[in-house]
Amino acid sequence: MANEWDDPIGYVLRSSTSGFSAGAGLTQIDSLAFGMIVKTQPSTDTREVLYGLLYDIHIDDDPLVRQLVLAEAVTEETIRDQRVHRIAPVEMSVLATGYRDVDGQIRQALPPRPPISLAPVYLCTDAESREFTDYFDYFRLVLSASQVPGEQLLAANLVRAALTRPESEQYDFLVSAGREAARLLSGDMARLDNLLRLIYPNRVRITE
Amino acid sequence: MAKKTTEIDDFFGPRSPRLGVVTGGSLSRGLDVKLDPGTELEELAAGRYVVVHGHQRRFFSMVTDITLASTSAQIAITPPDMSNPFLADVYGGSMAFGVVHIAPMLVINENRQIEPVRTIPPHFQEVWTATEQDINDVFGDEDESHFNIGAPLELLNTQINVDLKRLTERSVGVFGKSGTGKSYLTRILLAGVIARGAAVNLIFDMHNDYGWEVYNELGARDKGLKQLFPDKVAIFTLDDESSRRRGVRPDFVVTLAFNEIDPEDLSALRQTMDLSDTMLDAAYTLRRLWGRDWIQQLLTAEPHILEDLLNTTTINGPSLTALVRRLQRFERFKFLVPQTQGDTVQEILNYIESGRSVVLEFGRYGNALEAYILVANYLTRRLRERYVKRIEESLGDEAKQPPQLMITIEEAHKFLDPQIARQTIFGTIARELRKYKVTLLVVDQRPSAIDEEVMSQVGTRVTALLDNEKDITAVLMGVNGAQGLREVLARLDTRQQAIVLGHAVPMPVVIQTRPYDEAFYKAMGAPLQGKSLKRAAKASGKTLYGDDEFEGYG
Repeated sequence: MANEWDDPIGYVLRSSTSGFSAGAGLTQIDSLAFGMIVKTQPSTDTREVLYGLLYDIHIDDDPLVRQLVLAEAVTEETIRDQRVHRIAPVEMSVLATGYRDVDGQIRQALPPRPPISLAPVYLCTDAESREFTDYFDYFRLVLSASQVPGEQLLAANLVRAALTRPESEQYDFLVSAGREAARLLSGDMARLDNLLRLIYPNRVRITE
Repeated sequence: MAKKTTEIDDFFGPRSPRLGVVTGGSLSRGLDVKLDPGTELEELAAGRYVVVHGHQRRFFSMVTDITLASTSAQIAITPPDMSNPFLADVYGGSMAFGVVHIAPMLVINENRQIEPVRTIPPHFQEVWTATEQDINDVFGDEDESHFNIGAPLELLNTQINVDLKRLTERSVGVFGKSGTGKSYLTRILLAGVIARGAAVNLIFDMHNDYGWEVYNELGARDKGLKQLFPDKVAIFTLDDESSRRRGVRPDFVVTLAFNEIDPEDLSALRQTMDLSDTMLDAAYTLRRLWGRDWIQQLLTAEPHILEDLLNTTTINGPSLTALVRRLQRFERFKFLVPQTQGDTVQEILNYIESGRSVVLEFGRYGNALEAYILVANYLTRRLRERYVKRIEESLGDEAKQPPQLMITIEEAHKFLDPQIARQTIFGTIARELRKYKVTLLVVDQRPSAIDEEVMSQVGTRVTALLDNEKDITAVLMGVNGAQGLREVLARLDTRQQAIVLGHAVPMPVVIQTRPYDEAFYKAMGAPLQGKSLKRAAKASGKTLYGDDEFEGYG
């Protein structure tokens, strides 16, 4: 198995205890997806790990892009060169949803401190995603975060998390997650209904 | 996820599926249990046993009500699309869930001892369906003093055993609306009492349901107590002709003498024969004036004698005329004779003292309520007098005491109506408890018509379906957690289901009654006959000779 700390997908640009933004080269775009669980290390103590959900991936323009969009004949080579060597990074926002404490336990709560700038950011392996999503305490953080589309983000995360599990467990996982969401959103049927429709396992095979 | 095991699991052993957790309640009202999402609501039923596993105790409880609840009022206004299986699975058990109300009936402590319920488990303790082991811990095994009367609902491999000593030391009531199998239940109880020798019985058998044989609802013939216990049961009859027509050979034909009927015997007939106070006063006056033959003299009196009577006593004319008319009904009863050949009461007493139960068949008189009440009252009053005498004579010497006697009466409310219960012998017996070793087994369809004080003294109540509110209230009077049991009682099947509560069982229990069939006869030790005998012989032959060699018995 590859070392889970190899190949960062980006580096922290700005951070707070509620989340952080990271920058990456445009070539990383294919490995990023809305709702993924990413991790970084908030301190020099390598036992501490911060987990978060990836949302709001955006690509800002730069002066060269602005010129190129107006140019009449731009070669394929120029476009590729601009993408590889562009000076503005792909920016992604991460909502902090938990951390692994120095005792090795995962806590689904805001981390004690934010990651420092330029800390490398990594994608979680399937095993880590599974471990993190075995508990649903982070739902509340996602659904109550004002800066994110809560149901959309949680739904994207759950569908991904389901796919990290064996086929025979996927349906039950989504039902359990749906029940927890129902508990939290019992006063807001519109949001709950939206979330449940997003995670309805039409892509995940029902194995009952 | 693997189920966590705890010390309590190790101690109590394997458990059946978890139903939910306790979410509220009180000692007086019972507990609310929120069902787990996986618990199938439709499989739960009022009357089912569940066990709450507290920290140190098991709370043995009964489901008394089932309700639907939701975490949001909105869901009731805009129900989700339950045709979508995923949405159905998510909503079912989370936002919309079932709640059962359970009544803790008793507690099993760490030492497996049974205690009454004096506390409740804390919040969120797990609730499980009762296992066979739980049932056995509570109701024990069948033995010399415990008799199997059926199985709890949905746990038909277990059995509910009543404590016969406790059953017979206080009066017993068998209640249920018409056609719910009261006689069937009574026959099972009586068979147990006779088989184990817990008491000797005197059964006033109104419709010939107990003695020799009876037709069940399928039209087949069930054995009566005499066939099950030929040496322990005697059949007495008031109607020899009817008995012989039914192929019964009675042990004794009962006759009562007119000159032995006292005004007290008429008191019990006050309502049935519409006897007023002035008519009864007239009866007492006549008994005082004319002595033992007062009835016959009255029925044969010339007009001038009656006129003299009216002139010389305080008896008024209309009352006397009405009394004569009422007493003339007795002339239809062939068992009433001017003078008896023997002493019926002593004859019954002889059987009872030798440990033999007596079934008194009424034959054609079973349909005449006044005959039933007159005879039951007449015999019981005299028997009890002699019992009291015997008990008083034998004080300090238990060996001389007569055996425990249980008297079975049907249509009990006619004897124990609030207006007459204080004046009849049956009211007295019910109130005396076990003081004179005589108790009642009352069979009735209108328990609400029985005097409240008498009902409060009925130690064990076996109740089939009742749907009248007043009757349900009467049966549950004085029972802890009665409110919950009301629902159970009103939802029993119309056949072969009953709730047993009171002195003879550790807690109220809904039972599927034991079948009254060949297996029952065998358990009672009755000799096999006909096809049953052939089957048994065949089975024994195979045991002895194997399949190949044995060809006998056809």
